[in-house]
This record gives sequence, C-alpha cells and structure tokens, in this order.
Amino acid sequence: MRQVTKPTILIALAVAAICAGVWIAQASDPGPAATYRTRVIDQREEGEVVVNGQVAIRIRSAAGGYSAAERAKRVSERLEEAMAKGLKPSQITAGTANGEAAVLANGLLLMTADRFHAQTNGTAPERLAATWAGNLRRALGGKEPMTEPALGAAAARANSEPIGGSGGQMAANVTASPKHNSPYWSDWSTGAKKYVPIVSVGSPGVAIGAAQVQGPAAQVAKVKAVAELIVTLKGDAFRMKVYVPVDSISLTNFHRVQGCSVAAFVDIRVLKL
Amino acid sequence: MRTFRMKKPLMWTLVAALLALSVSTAVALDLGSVLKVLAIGTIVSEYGGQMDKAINGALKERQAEAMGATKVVPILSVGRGVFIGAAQVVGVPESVRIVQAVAQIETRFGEVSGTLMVPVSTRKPASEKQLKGVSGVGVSAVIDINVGKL
Repeated sequence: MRQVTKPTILIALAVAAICAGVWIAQASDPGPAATYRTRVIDQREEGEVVVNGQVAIRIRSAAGGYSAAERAKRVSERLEEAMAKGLKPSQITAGTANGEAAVLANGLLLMTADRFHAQTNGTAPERLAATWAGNLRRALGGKEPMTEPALGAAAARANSEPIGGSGGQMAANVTASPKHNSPYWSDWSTGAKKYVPIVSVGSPGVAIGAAQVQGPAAQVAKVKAVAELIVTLKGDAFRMKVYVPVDSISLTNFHRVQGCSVAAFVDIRVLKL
Repeated sequence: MRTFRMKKPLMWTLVAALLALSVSTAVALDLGSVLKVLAIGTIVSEYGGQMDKAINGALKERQAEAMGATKVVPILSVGRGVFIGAAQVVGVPESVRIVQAVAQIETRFGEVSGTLMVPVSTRKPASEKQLKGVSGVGVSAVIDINVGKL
C-alpha cells in the first residue's frame, strides 16, 4: 500500500482551505450592487434602478424602443460595468449628453433625464438629472439625502395628513395631487423675477399688460408670457381670471412652465372694444 | 290745547336711527359694498373648494394644470383693510396650507398702475411695511365675486 507523505497531506489541506475560502466568498457575495426591477402602477409598467437595495431612479415611460423596465435594466448594467471598473460615488455627476440633461458615470452616459420625466416629477430636466445623480451617489455610499424615490411616500403623507390644522378653515380647501409635492418645487415665489406680457383672450376687448413672474431661476428663464384664461362659475357670480406662465407668446400652442407664479400685475389697457 | 307727548324709548330710537342715517350718508357708505366686504370671507369659505376645482379643471382640459398644491383665499386690500375678492394660490403644499389671504397692494407710476399680490398667513390687515409674505406660494388666479348673482 502506498504511503501518504506529510507534504502531500499539507498540500491537500491547503487546496481544501483555498476551495472552502472561495466557496464561502461566493456564498456570501450579495450579487450585483446595481440591479433593476419592475412594478405596475395604474396598469402602467415602471422600471426601478436599485443600488445596494435602494431605489435610486424610477423610470416611468418607454423611450428609444425600450420599455421602462428595459431602460432600467440598461442603466443598471451600465452602472454595474462602471462599478466593476472602480467607479466612486463622487464620479457620478449630472451633465449633458447629446444636448440633453443626463446622469454620467465618470463622464459616460448612464441615463438621460428627458422632458417627460422632468414634467412628471414637476421639475426641469437639469434638476432631475442632478437629483438622480445625487440618489445614485448616496446609494453607493455618499452622504446626500434621497429625494426623488421618496416622492411616493412624501406625497402619500401630504395627502393623508389632516390639512385643517394650522391653516384653519380655509386650509380645508387645499388641493394637492400625489405627483405635486414639495421635493420637486422647493419654492414657487423666490429665486428670480421677471416681467412678461399678459395676453388675455376671452374677455371683452383685448387687454395687454404685464405680469411679474417669480420662481426658480431655471424656470423663470423659460417664461415668455402669461396667458390669462377666463373661467366662470355659477353663472357669472364667480368670474375667475387664471394666470398661466407659458413658454410661448402664441396662445394656440403653449405649455405651462411649472414652478412659477405671478407676483404682480401691471395694467395697460390699449384697446377696449 | 291737547299736546302730543312721545314716549321716551321711542324718541331715543328715532334719534339713534337719524344719527346712524346721517353718519352713513356723510361717509357715503355703499350698502352693497359693505355687504360684499362682509360676505366675501363667508363666500370664500363656502365656495372656495368649488372655485378651486373649477380653475384646476379648466387648466387640466388645456393640459396646463399646476404641479403644486392650490387653494382659494380672500384678497385683502392693504390700503382699505377689507376683503375685495378672492384668489387662487399655488405652491408648496406645506406653505399653501398656512396661507389665509392674499394681500393686495396697489401702486401707480403715472399712467401705469401696478398691483402687487402677496400671499399672507393672516386675515388681519397690516401696513405695507409690516407685511410678510408666505414663501413658496404664488398667485395663480384672481376671482371677482358678484354677490348679487349668488
């Protein structure tokens, strides 16, 4: 019978120890740090980019031939690839790619912050990119507070809170929808101001005046005019002049600029029919 | 000769009524305006929700709904210290909740008139210098109320 020597036993033990170490390491590996998942809200599929267990980006629509979930998958794959190359949280930044606001990982595109998502979140694309970048940095170990994914909880809280408390009887009339929450518009009243023309349609005569609009500088810069709409209620008992900051002087094709409001009016009636 | 003697309580009532009439005539008070001022606070409390919904509904039809909390409050004329209408305010929900009125300050630069609208957290009139606006809230609509048509 062949005799087993001491060195052979030692080598065998060393190999076994190495194998055990590798096996333990593989067993304890939690898997990729960046992944994605899908969820269905109001019969609409959404994709979520999850980093270290935290939802950092929520993708609400398809684009470029990819579904929301597929987009989330692509983002998580790009992120995983960048992390494999030693990406640090500070290297995730907001910038531009192909002329659009985007989240970049060490200068490479992770995801564009498109206009749809910005409007859905009640913010500007640049600001949304900054929010997403901040969320990713935090999820990867940075020290910034999560903002955008907290929307659902914050909005639910805003809707579930009794609203009559500090505001008295009038506060009971507050209307706030889930997507309309403060994390997106920290301020509708300060930041920047400018004067724009008011174009009134629907009232006797043509009134031309000016309004001072106020709000975040990036939003105020987009305002080209204030559209005045007339809404009546209970016959003519309530005649409501609604002022909408818009991105175009044309009243046939305009879009509201969110986050801005009117602070003052300057009246110059030049023609009265 | 028989003399007519008026009872004292009746006499004092007539004197008080004449005094009230003369005072009201002297300051040229318009009863309609007085009623309107007194009624606006109540009307806004009663119909504020409907007005808010009507405005938001009209904006939604045009895909121009504001992404912020909204509420209808009375407009308080700072110079006169009375309610003169109503306004819809828009902004951060936490800030919109505390708004109680919109203070209106009118200014004039020659032929051009200006109207400053400041959301405030009180319904009591304050001087322009003491006026402190609620940050995070702006005005989105101005509402004329015709009390006579209600």
